[in-house]
Amino acid sequence: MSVHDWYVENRIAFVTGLLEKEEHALFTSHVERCPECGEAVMTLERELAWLPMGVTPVAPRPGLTHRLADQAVRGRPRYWWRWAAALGTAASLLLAVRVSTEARALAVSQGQLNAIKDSLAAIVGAERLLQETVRRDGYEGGFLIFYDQDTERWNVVVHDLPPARPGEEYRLWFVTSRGLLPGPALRANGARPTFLTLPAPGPTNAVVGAVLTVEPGGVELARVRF
Amino acid sequence: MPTPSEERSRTGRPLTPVLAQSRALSLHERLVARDEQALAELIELIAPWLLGLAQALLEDSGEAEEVVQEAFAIVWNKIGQAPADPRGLLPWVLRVTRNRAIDRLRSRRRRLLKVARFAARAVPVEPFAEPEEPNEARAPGWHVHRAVHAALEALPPEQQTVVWLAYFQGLTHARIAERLSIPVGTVKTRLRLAFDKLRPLLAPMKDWIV
Repeated sequence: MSVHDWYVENRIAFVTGLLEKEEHALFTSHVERCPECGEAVMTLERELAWLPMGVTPVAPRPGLTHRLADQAVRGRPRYWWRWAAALGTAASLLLAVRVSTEARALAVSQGQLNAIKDSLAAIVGAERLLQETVRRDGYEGGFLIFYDQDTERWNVVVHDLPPARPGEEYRLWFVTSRGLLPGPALRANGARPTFLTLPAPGPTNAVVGAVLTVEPGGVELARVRF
Repeated sequence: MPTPSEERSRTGRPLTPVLAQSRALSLHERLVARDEQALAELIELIAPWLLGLAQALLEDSGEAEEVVQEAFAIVWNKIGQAPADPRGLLPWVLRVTRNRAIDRLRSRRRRLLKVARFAARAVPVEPFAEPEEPNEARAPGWHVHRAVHAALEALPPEQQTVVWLAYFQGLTHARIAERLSIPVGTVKTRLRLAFDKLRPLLAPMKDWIV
């Protein structure tokens, strides 16, 4: 199953607004670049155009239609004093937060150090660990994924990859027994590794591999299978 | 500028509460020409459906009104984005409204609120049971609604349920699976089968024609 198959399978879910927020954003950027999916989505939108009329109509409250017209044309009234009050409250809160933030900074640094130590220990103890070399734009980097049984989380490391080009992003996909599932976008800057730790994508979706792609084109950079 | 109701009293007869194809084109053109009366007519025709749609998704009449308000602001300010096809105006307005409501529903807090409210209710056995039919003249577009309902009612009950939960209630695949105690894959399959059946039934539907 290619990454593009995921887009094909989820066209109706996209048109009907059933994808999760991040999946929807991913699909939107893909449609802008994939003429095949763009055409299919337009056809589906035409075919299902009247489906929203399946709802029970709700009679507008008295005066609402007049107000809708008036506010659409002239814009909603702006109550500046509400904003001023909100800004004042926000400023006070920020001051209070700043004080406590400074005090916690040291503790946070210690926590991050402990987390890195835990992560390194997890890599050493990992049983399902795969690595693939990734080449792009003259860079030669790596894509490492492993499962930590103690925390029941997947850990991903991408290193020595150039930053994604404008309008593009690196994205992780889980290959599961039920097909591909999109994971999060990954940032890379070529200088230091990117480390992600992710929950397993559900008990019914046994992970059998992973794919690293460049979106929205769906170009595969690396594919690993357990 | 007279409102539609003022228009009614002035001419002594009601505006025809339907949107013929030629009139849709005219409405579209008049909206492009910044005709405020055209916007008032459009609101009178379609606001009940937009409110029903937003309220079903958000389960909050105040938020539903805000969404409909935003939709009409988009209609007024971005009418150039509406399809030039005379049959495209009303579907575009419906789509804009649904997308705005879905955007709000996608915020985590609202979704959790929705799920909490929804958990307190039973899933209806016949989600598309028809309410009492109103006077056609008071509900423009009712015959389109009836045709959509007929298509939905033709689906097997288990497919009706997932379409209702997903499309008209805005629940995610995972939430539906949880609610019905079935795997996510089954939810997706039922939805795919349902939409494959709905597409040919809904595709030939025309605009609101007399």
